[in-house]
Amino acid sequence: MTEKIVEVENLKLNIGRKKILDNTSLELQKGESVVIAGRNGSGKTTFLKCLANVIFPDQGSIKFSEEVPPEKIGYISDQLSLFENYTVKKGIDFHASVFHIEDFDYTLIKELKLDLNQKIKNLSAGERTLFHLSLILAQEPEILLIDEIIHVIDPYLREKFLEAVIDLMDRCQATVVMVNHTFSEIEKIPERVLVMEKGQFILDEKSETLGEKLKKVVSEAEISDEVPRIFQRELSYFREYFVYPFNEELRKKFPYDYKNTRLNEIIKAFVGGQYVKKGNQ
Amino acid sequence: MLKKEINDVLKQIVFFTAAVLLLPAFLIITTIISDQSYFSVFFPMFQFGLIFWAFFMGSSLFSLEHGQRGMEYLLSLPYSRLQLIGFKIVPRIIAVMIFFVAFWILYNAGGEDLAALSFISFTFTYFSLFLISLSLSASSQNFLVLFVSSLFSLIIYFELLSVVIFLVTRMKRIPYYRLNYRYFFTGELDPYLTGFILLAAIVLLLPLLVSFILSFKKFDIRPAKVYNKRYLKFFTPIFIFCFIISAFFASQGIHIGYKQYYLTLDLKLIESHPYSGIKIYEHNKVHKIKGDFDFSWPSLVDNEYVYQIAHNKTTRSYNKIIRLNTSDYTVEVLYKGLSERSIGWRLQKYDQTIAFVERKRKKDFHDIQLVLVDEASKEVTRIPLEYKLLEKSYFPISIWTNKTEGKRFWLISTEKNWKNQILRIWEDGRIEDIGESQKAPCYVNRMLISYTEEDVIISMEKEGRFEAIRKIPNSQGFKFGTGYWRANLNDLTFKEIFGWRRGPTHPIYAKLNLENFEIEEIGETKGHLHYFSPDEYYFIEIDHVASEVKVYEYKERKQNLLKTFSFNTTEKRNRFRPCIGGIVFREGKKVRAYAFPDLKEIKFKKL
Amino acid sequence: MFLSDLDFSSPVPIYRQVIYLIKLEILSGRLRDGDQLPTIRELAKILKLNPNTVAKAYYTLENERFIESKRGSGNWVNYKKAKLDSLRRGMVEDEFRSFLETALSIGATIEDIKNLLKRYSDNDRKNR
Repeated sequence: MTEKIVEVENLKLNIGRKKILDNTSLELQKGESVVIAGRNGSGKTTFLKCLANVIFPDQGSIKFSEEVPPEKIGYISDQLSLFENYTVKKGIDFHASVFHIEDFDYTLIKELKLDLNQKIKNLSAGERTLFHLSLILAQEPEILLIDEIIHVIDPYLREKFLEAVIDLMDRCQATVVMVNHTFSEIEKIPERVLVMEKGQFILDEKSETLGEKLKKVVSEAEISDEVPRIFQRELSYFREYFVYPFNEELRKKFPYDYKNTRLNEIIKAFVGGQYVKKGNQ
Repeated sequence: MLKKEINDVLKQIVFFTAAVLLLPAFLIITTIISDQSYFSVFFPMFQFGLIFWAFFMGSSLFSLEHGQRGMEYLLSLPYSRLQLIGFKIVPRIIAVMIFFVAFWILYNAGGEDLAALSFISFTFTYFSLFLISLSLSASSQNFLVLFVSSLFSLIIYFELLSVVIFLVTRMKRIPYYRLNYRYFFTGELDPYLTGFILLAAIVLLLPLLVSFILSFKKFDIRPAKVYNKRYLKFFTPIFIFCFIISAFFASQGIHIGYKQYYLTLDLKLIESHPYSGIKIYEHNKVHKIKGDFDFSWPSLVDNEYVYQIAHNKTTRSYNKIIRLNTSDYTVEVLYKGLSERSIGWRLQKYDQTIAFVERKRKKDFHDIQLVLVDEASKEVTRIPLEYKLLEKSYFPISIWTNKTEGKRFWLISTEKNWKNQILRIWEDGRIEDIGESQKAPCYVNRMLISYTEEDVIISMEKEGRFEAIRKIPNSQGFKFGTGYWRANLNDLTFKEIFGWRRGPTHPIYAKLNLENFEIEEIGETKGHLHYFSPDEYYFIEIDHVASEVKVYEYKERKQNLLKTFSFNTTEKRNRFRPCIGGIVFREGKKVRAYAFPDLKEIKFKKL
Repeated sequence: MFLSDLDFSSPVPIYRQVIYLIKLEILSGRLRDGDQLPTIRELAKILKLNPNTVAKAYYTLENERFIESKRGSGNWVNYKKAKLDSLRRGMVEDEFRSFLETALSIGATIEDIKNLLKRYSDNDRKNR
């Protein structure tokens, strides 16, 4: 299971004077599914675009293993970029010819009831996303890169989208990297959670163990300063503390009511923590 | 992918063709200029349309992707950036070529007279604009910005090319006017120079292209500013490098000429390099004289001096006579005329007097003077010539000189309406009309040789007038002469002179015996005659096919081969020069001299 | 089948929750011995899970001898009757423990719970 598929080393990237990526490194294993979260402008989309070869980092290297030739990388950008003056049919034919796809699978297209002679630019955002996904699925990608698009799709198509992705993960043992900050639908998919801030990964945990390492304490009174936390906030009736890293020792020492949290909240805590930090600076 | 690009370009071709074909038709209909043919309206428009087409083909490399938000998708396809460029450039180059061929066909089919730009300048502009706009195509998404910057770059590019050429001419101390590089556009320069200038031009275009390719290797969807910054980073050093290379190529091509060699009567070798002075080689020494002059084509040579007509740097008129003393190595200006006047290229020396014809260069062509320069005092006497006789004639070129009853006179011949007018000018300014000759006359052994349609007329002076003494039938049309480069030819006595006419393959020579006045035809000869002294002459045959030059001597009615020189005769750097003292032969950088009469090689140790 | 949702906030790993779900289905009789289980892909799609998670759950269940996977034809429920009793006992105990923990944490006493249990069992007898 631990077969390295991508190795990203020390990516640096500036746009103007702004550091977008700052010594970003990451390894991805085959078949792994990863979610990258982070604030807006934290560099996660840029990072994904680097993996997709759409942006070249100023420094650093991205090495794909030999079994991932360029045509086995599938990328759905947040821009939903396609040749939108093409009709659906022409778009499929072009994609198939570029990626040497011999028999294109129209199942998804048919399920969506897309008109083949319709221009791509006239598709709705959701249809366009699923159309793009169906193009990429036909590539049988080893790596699937999905930028923040899930939230633009309606619930019905979102389900279809997820089913297609899950299907691919099982069928091709594909590695999936998703950049996202809405999690309710997908929270059970990623095995690994990354949080990015200022071009660096500040969290990289298996989702299996993340729940054990991060707990929430809700209390009216302030809790001891010695309890490590990444984020806290005061609401009108109580305070919320996100304790990280948590272990059972801590519970013995400070017997608060440590509650489990959902991924959504965990991410929120991490992202929120960064805002607080920024405020303090 | 290639198919997509071909399809895209095809669509653009169809659109452009339709526009180009229909626009003039539309114009004709709306203006109802019925007397103008479609083609005469079409062609100039077509030419300008093509210039735009070159720009459009270059700069539209990514416009379709930009136009349909497909850039990111394009870049995520499994092609390297270089492959992408390849896919995009190939069909566009073909499209550009197709229209160039179309232009070429139409240009030859009557477009030449209608063309707004000459063929070469159009070709040059067309392709360089294509390559420039291609190189800039990724720099902006805005078509107008691309258009302006491409045009701007094109202008800068042309300017840079002239700067390169200007710098090279400065460095080589070549007066800039000598290399009117505009000739490059009209194609009037020699292919060697044009080739190198073209090379320099291409090299100067490389910085844009190479930095495009290098910076496009990492082209991405970041703002164009990032790409342009990288582009400039590549561009600057490449530009400096290419500028130097370009100047190097230009300097290889730009030259007034190679070193020229001349072998004098006293067997000294003069090496002239334009505008840097001369070197005089002797057996084991060399003397260098610096200055802005050369002695590559002496107008006159005698035992003491070599004379050369030199020109004025700024006015480009040949109005100076310089003189080289080959024994004490001095160069001096013997005569300097007004800059608006020009010296006819034949000088004649009699006693201490150099004589030549001088005329105005512009407008008053009939303002002609015979100029006499005393060598010792450098005193100048000018005798204005009555112009009516010379009106609309060619420059009077032939002068012979002599003395009759203590009075000196000069003979001048001018060609006009296929006839040669012969004038005699006396020292005191009198002008005497000697008559006409069908062919260029000549004066030898105090005899004037002139021609009627059928005969050769030999005239001699009697009581101060030329009188015909002989009439020799000359139905074959031979033209006799003595050679002209030697000073004081009139002091020499010839037993015989040669005449020639065109033969089927080789010239046909005849001998005119000056004692019994008989013409003896030699028949077809190999080569052209070269006089050494009155009774010593050689035939020099240049054979471009066999790549050799053969030197024959004529003895006992036979041409005997003296020496064969084998070399590439068409190569410009190789040169075979018969001089007064012998033959100078240059092959590549090797220079050898062979002295008359037996063509023995003379060694110059310092050469 | 499998309508129950999974709870990510639980510290129990998801694959454990999947195992639990399947075991629940078996105990409740909705999955009988010899029934075919959904394929990994199907189950992952239904539950919006990572297929790896489902695979891990199936693999554990197979080790625990509740299911049998046949190459090419999928996964089948396959257990011995005796196993069910011990499973039932274990699961009831687990559920009871977690109930107890909650009850005690909100201040109930063991006495309260005994009373409650008595009341429920009386009601149950009456209803029969």
